[in-house]
Amino acid sequence: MESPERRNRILASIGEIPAPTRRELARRQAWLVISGLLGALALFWVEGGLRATGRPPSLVAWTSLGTSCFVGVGMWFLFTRTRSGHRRGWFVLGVATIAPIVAFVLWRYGLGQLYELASPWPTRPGYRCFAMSVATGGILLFALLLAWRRLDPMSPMATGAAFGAGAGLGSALLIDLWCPVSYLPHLLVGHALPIAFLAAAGAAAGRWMLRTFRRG
Amino acid sequence: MPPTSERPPGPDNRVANEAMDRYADGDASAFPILYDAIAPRIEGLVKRRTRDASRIDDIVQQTFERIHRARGTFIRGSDVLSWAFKIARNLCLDLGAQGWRERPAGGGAKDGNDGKDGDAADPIAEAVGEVVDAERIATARETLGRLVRAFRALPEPQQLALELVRVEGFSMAVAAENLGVTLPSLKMSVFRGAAALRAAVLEDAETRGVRGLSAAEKEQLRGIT
Repeated sequence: MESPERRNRILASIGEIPAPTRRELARRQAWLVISGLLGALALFWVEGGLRATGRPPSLVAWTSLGTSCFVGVGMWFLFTRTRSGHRRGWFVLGVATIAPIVAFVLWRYGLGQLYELASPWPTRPGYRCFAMSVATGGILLFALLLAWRRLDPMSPMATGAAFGAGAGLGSALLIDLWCPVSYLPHLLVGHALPIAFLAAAGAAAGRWMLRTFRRG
Repeated sequence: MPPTSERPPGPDNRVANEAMDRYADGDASAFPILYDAIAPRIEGLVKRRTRDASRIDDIVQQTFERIHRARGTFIRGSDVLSWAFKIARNLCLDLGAQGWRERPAGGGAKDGNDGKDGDAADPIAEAVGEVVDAERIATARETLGRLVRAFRALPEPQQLALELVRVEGFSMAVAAENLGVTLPSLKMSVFRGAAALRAAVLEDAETRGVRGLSAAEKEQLRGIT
């Protein structure tokens, strides 16, 4: 049975715990996410920004257009929640991560073949792109984790993984503008692997950063 | 009583969702309304899932504290009860209080009991409540005991699916979102769990040599499972 004593105790304890309202939280999260985006963009520009490097402008435009579509769809599933307010399940998150990666790699490789720019390039295994992807995506992921810090009492690992995968997809969009290589092993190591890496890092960090702890 | 899956959304859910919406916007006066609307159901869930009765109050309190902390993330119009259930279930796991197979805190009886324990069987208890004949009440209690034992023998996903859909009356879609599984997977769990429950109870009744279920009781069981 419901006890008045417990009711009073809970009502009193709630008053002592600071909790942002929707408006306060939205403002705080907007600042952090925008800062993260600007940080990732700043790093991208410092490292050279948009580099066609022998690619025809039409190829750059087509690859970016396709990548934007795949990334947009993936991010929608990763960042939005269900109608009842829950983070999407692991299966959906996995599909929302893997499907855009596969689509992006096939799109990029296919267009590279079409423009005869997908020939082997063994001197570019993709480590530089990997580092750049992890760095830009990592900034965005960190901003997202800070924005939602201690605010997910339900599925912090899934939320962290979704943030990591989303940040990885976002960085893939930037790296796509930066890197001219369409050699398949390079695409897998330098462009696809960082997304999986950031998703895993997001899951691990989310477990600790996003969960709500008990008081005291 | 109609099967719980056909239960219309209760007024409590609407009241709770509206109160949570207001509370997330900063209206502190909405919290007591939210508490009164969902606390009994959270307590029911926690009682079913913990073996340690002394921790029930603690888990209920922490559930509300976490709802409070995360109020800013509550999406307008979403289901606060589903939210609260997931938080409470996580807390039971986090605090190591899970263990209803050993002994539910609600009734204190162990496996093999007479079926008086366990809020998991609330709908059944309500269904047989209409029976006034003492002998039939005793038989119904035996049936309830078998049902509770069979329920506890089910795999965890099927227990969770049945609990949310058949006991708590969530829609299949909301229950799937709550458990983080796909809708077909949830439907399969509910179907398999209900079928296993039905088969286990009927088989148990026959093998134990106790009086078999009457046609009316079988019909009642079908309605519930």
